[in-house]
Amino acid sequence: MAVIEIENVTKTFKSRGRQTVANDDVSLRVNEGEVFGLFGHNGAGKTTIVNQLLGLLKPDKGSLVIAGEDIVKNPNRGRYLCSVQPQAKTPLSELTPRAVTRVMGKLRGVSDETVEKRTNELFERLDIMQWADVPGKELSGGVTRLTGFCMAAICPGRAVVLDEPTNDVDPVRRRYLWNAIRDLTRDGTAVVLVTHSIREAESTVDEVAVLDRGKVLLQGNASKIKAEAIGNRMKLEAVARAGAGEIVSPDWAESMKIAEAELTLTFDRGLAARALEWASDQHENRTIGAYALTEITLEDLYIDLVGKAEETEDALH
Amino acid sequence: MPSTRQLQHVIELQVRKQASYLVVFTLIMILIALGVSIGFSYLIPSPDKSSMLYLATGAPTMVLIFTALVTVPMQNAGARMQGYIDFVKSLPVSRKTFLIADVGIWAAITVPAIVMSVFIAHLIFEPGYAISWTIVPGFLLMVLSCFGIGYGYSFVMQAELAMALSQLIAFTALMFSPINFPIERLPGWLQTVHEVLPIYHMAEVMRASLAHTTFTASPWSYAILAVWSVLGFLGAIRFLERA
Ligand SMILES: Nc1ncnc2c1ncn2[C@@H]1O[C@H](COP(=O)(O)OP(=O)(O)O)[C@@H](O)[C@H]1O
Ligand SMILES: [Mg+2]
Repeated sequence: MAVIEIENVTKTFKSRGRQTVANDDVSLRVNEGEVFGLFGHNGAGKTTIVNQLLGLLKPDKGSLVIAGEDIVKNPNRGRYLCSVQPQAKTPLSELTPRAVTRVMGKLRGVSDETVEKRTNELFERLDIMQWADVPGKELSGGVTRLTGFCMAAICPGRAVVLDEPTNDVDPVRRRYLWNAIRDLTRDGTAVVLVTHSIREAESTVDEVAVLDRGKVLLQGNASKIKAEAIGNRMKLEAVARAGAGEIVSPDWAESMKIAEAELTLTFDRGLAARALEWASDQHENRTIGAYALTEITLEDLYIDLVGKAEETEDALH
Repeated sequence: MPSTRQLQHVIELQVRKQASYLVVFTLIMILIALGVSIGFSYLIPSPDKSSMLYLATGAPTMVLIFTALVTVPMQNAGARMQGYIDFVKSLPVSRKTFLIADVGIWAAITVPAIVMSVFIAHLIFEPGYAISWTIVPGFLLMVLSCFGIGYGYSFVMQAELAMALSQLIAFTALMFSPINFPIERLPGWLQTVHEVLPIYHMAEVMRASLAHTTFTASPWSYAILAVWSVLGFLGAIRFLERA
């Protein structure tokens, strides 16, 4: 069942005579119990979507519905229906992570006992218990960000929106965070995960939508998209030491690209051993430096798509 | 009406966010109030009973003005620049609840300074206080009008401008407002300005409540304060509710 339904939303900002189309006819559906990845690079229009869901911005056109309630008609309902971790870190001043998480739980009407229990669970899960009672102004950026997550996750309700939750967080706690995000879906909560770190998020999400300059470039089930667009291919990435002319693309490779001293070779999975052998030879001849065989990711697809979108745009002008 | 539980939680949030600052601020306000009611008397060569009473009944008004028209707007402008107000707007509570909680906290903080300054000035000078029952509705009206304006302008104006205005108010309230002296001492045009601004009327209502045997406030003063309360809070609510 759909918890969030966004249909044909367009939002334009006008400031100092300049117009920015932050969302251009965006339609998205987020179902119960799924993690929905809203991806895109800086300025793609992700946070603008979040602010419209919260009722902090009004769309120019289109509709936003959360749990059956029309947010455009009743902007005040958005923040009750969704709990959110905003992209901007909340200045906590003297509030400790424990105090602010507790207040957030109580504001959402959870009993004191449950709040206590759940706060401890979350802090332990993310390994931030040692800072639970430290005033916010003395916390590192990463712990402040994780506190923001706990504030949204303490009583998530039907939908949680996380806007760049991993920013400033160290790699170890990032893993804990990914697991905690998955846990949220267990009781049917819908999670919208907004991020520019597509690569690290893609294994956590069920559905994805990729935004670029306000438009949805790609949308659907993450594994399906990967199966269709990537299929059985892999890639070899290497530091190119020689120029583009000096490295000859092997005939078994599907494509070879050298850009900014980085070589990318794509090929069928069955040819992996052959690719490694080729790389080892090239390495010996000093045409390439460090190399690695990896999976093709959604991020690669995204970069390809954005490149193509830009080319068409250029062609139009 | 907002639920009292929600109100409690928002008060907890706002108090805990700046607990030690609030304590320090309360102490500073007590010092300022004593400074005005006692310290200023040393500036006057040979103060008579009536100018002492002006100082002693002006000090509480000064406390309200410094809190509601100077400090709170500065805090609000800072909170807006840091993005804290955006956070507040995303909380699952009505924004009126937030406003009520915040005004309540800051209004409560002025009480110790006002009570202490009146009490100590009475012990030292016996300037002729005569406290009337109108102090309760009068205080409420003063709180509503000056906090209404304080929240109103710090939310409606650009944050940087609001900061600057708060400084200007601090200076003019201290120097050129008929709080600690009779309005007749000001030039005519400035008297006219003060007839519309709330500061003079606040001072009038405060005086009439604290020394009702010496001073009376015209109904006009109450009416003007009521108008400012409504304007200020409408502005603040409009800003907070704006999508
Ligand atoms: N309040 C605003 N006023 C003017 N332009 C804005 C405003 N908010 C966002 N924008 C513009 O809208 C575009 C999308 O911004 P945003 O949604 O924050 O992107 P993202 O979160 O994907 O990085 C950007 O070009 C940004 O500059
Ligand atoms: Mg963003």
